This record gives sequence, C-alpha cells and structure tokens, in this order.
Amino acid sequence: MPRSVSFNVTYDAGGDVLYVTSRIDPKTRMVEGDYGLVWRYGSGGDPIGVTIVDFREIWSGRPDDLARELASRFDIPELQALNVVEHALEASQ
Amino acid sequence: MIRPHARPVLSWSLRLVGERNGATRPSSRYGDTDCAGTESGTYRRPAKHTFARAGDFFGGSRSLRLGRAGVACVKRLQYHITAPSHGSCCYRRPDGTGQHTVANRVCVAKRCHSKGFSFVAARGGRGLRERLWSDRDRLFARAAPKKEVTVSSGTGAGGESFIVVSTTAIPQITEVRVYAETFGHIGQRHGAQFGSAFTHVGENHGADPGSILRMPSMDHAIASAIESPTHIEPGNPGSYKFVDTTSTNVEGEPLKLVVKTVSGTSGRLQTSYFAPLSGSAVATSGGKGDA
Repeated sequence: MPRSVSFNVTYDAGGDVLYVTSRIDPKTRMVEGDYGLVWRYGSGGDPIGVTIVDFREIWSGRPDDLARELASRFDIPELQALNVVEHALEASQ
Repeated sequence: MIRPHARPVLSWSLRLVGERNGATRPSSRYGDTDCAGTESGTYRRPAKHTFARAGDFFGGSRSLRLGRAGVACVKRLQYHITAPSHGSCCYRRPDGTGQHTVANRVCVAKRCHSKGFSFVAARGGRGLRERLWSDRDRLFARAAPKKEVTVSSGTGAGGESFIVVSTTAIPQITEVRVYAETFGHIGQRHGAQFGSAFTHVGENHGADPGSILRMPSMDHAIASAIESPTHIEPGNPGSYKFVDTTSTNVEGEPLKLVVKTVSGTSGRLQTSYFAPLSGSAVATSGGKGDA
C-alpha cells in the first residue's frame, strides 16, 4: 500500500542538480542509477533521498517518467511524486 | 621532596607551545600561574637548567633562597615530572583551598597551554627535544596539505564565488570550477556521508571561495580528485565522474565528483558523493597523478 512521505527539495540552479530528501541519515549510502539519478539509502536500507543530476536537462520534458521512478522507489503514490517533480520544475525555472 | 636535578623540560615545551599558539611566552611559567604553594626552602639550581632565565625565580644564582611561590613551583615541576598526565600547571585541590597534591590534580594556572606536551615531561635533554620536535612535526603535519593542489578563485557574473582546479586527467576537461553554492548543496544534502565538518560548509556557502579551501579534509579531497583522479567514469551526456579511490568513506567506497563540461574544456562540479565503482571507466590511472 503506497504511503505518504514528506520531502525536502532543493535545487542547485548552477549545477542543474535537484536534491530530494525525505530524511538525513548519518550512515547514508549512495547507489547510482540511470539518467543521473543517485539514490540515497539509510542505515536500514530504506530509500531516504535521491540526487538528480541534470534535472531540467533530462527530466523537464518527461516529468511523468521521473514521477514513476520516485513513486516506485519511495513507495509513494504516483500523484504525490508527480507533485514533487512539478513543483521542483516550477521552482527551478 | 624537591628534586634538585630535575631535567630542563619546561623551557623547551613552553617555547614550543608558544610558537604553536602564536603567542609570546616566557621560557619559565613560574611568574604566570597563581601558584598556591606553601613550603619554602633552599633550592640549588642545577647548572644545566634552562627553564628559568635571569630575572625568573631561578635565574642568576647557583643557590638561592626561594619564596613560597618559588618552592611551590619547583614542587609543581616535580609533579610535572612524576605525574606526566598533566602539564606544567599549578595544582590545587578542587575546592581551591589546598596545596599541591598529586592525587587531586586540578590545573588552576591562568594560562595553561601545556597539556599537549605533558607526556614528555619525564624525559629530558636531547631525547626530550627530539621527541618534542618530532611531535611538533606530526602535529603540524595534520594541518598541512598532503599534496599541493593548484587552485585559483574568482567570482561569476552573478556574483557567485568559485574556485578553479586544473586537471589533466582527460583532454575534454582541463579545468573545473567548484562553486561555493554547489559546495553548500553538497554539504547540506550529502553532508551525512562526509561528516559534520563538511555539513558546516553548507551553512557558509556563498560566503567566500576560500572557505572551501579552509576545510581541513574535504577541500583537499575534492581538489585532489579533480586534479588527479584515479578513474574517470562516464556520466550523462557531457558529464564525467572523477573518481578518487584514495579518498573513501568507511565502507571503502571512493569519492566521486560529477563534472559537466560548460564551455570548451572548462567544467563545473555538479555534485559529489561516495559510491561504489561502476566498472565502466573512460580512463583509469594506476597511481594518482598519472592519469
């Protein structure tokens, strides 16, 4: 059952990098994915954030794809993920 | 019992401390502390003692009558030697009313800087100096950069501060700009990976490009990874990951810097993190600096 998670989202405009964070864990592990996605996992192995390199360049034209990635990884409703992505795209303009 | 031939330890250690703290300190601390000794007696100054200069409690005479404070300080010196767990401090009981005791060592010196060197107090002469000297090297070596990395700094059109690190790792990128803003984002969001010191940078980002270089560890690690990475991995189109396997986290994962070409052969650091090697490399180097 998808749950609701709150995210802290910051955007580095100069580097075109979006940082999506649900929580900070001192034992964060990073796993590189495709298309510049770098997933962050907490000490329990649960996803706690994602760093999206070339956010606007790659994902501005297909926010639904990114939302699907986030929804499946964080186990959240796709609508919430899309909300996060669209807000980030708006803010990064 | 006062040890008349106590080794000349104070002068050396204190002088070294003074240099370390950038302060001017006398070679004898006896006039600096609010010593609470109560004994008095005769103290024969050993010929080779250097802890007192002319004008200090022990200066000028082979044998001199010491005041209460002077004897107490000699006693303190004795404690200093026999109980090297503390420095050349003036000791009182915790309630402040007692005399010098070994059991209740509480430093009440007004300007005590000797803690770091107390462990060598029982040694003397050349051995002491050598040990202090080598220890000084070790202490200063911590603060010194491990390897010279040439950087320059500047300010972008929008007023953003950055530093420029030159690299010869791949022909596509010859210099990388590290913006303070980017460094701040990395510190805030990936800071947990880098430790609290790196998170600190995030609070100061945008202030000064030099602040990046004042970081004792990560500044050098990032600049070094740019200048001489051990691996280069492919990133998104136009991006490269500069990997430095000599800088790792506790899991042994190497430091990776994502660098994007901006114009010509100039690149910009996008983000950095520790992650396992991907296995696909654009270039590798057997040793740092050989890339």
